[in-house]
Amino acid sequence: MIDPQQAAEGLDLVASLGESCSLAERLDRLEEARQALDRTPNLTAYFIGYPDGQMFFVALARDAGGRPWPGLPAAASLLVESISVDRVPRGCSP
Amino acid sequence: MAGSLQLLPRSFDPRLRPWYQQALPSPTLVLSSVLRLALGERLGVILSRRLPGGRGVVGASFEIETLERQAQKLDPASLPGPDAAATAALLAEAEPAAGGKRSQGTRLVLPLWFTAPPEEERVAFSRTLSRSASVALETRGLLEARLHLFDGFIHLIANAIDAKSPYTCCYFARVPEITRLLAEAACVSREGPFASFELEDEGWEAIHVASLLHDCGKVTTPEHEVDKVTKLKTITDRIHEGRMRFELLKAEAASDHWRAIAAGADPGQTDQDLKCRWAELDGDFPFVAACNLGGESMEPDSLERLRRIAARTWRRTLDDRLGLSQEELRRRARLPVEPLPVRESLLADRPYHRVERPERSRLAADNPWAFRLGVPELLQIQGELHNPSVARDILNPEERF
Repeated sequence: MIDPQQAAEGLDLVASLGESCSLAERLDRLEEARQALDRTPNLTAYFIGYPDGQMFFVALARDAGGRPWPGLPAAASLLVESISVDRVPRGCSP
Repeated sequence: MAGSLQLLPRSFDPRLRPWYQQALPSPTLVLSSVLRLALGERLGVILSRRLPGGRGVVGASFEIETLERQAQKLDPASLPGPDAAATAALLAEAEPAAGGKRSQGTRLVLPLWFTAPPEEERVAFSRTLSRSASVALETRGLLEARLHLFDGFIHLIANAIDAKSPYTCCYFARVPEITRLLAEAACVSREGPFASFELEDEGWEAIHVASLLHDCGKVTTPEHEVDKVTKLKTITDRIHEGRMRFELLKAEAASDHWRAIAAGADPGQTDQDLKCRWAELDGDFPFVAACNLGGESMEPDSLERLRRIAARTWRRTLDDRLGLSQEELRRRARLPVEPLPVRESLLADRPYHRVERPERSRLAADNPWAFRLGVPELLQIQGELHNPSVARDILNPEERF
């Protein structure tokens, strides 16, 4: 089931990643993404697309059946993928 | 613990994804139609919402299989009571598509929320309602798919132009982004000429399409005009032909020098004459070459010097109509054939440099689009003197049109 309230709260938690200016800052806020994932068990992944073409993607390291995604170590708990560009994101200082 | 699993291709651009583009103009949450998710390539839906301040779009993905599995386990008795507002949802399956086969791509998620105890009759009613609604959703999905197809064609055209013209450095990728930023700035402006400027969904869509298609005419524009970087450039840069004529004039000067010596002239004097003629030509060609680049505006004294240089003549001894295409031969037929050898201007505007505009390229005054454009009489003017004389920039009015 998609509970819109729950999903919206999850999106709000993850939205703080939108304020991060660098990959390092986004990784510092992974805990918020993890909380959002934990609160919405039906959900596969959260992600943010940035206006300069960057992307930040966070998912649990296991699928809904509890199986780890192929290519990930068994001990991994989160799957994070990032697309970065060599530009200063909007609203960030160079 | 680190691992190696790459989901997204290197060329992945979130701004081109439907979940990003649909959420950007929407003030509320947006639920995508069914699509294939990057993670595990499974079917799913994406819930997305734009971030404040133009910081992008945040999204969450749900697998269809997971939602479906839960719906099958759903027990109406387990649905929340009257004190639990807005919490439960039902998964509605779309009616079989035409032909009786259910397509995975048309299976839809339809959330319904109960704020009162869901009695059995109400659940049955809800299921019937949800099936009807799912058909409506599917129809909407088909309409959206058509819009995406249209959007795909627009991007195809834009990308084709970018591919056609590598010098523009992804012009059609940058213009929509810059246009969107300008429109956003205009929307948030609360003073000046844009104080009351606002855009609805249709306006955003129009701006998006217009920003991608504003230069689509380049699809039919000859590449040498799209990528024109010098004034004499057509398919090749005719500065090479001009330079060879300068070389020819220098060779003629040397030939005259040796003929004069053979005829008994003073070697010292003819040598001096030769050096003078060479020095003039060596000084004039860089000037013509600079005119070809178009970096500066052509002042009257520059135009005068160009005309003076162009008036030099060289001796042509070969037929200039051999090996030409039918099209060019037809244009050259406007001039009578001159007996060889003939003296020709170093740079000249000739009738065959004027390419006529075909009727299909003209715009009728009563055209259905109400365009009011001053259409140049000729399609192209390739004059060797006319083009380098363009006062500013590189393109002449015919090429600019």
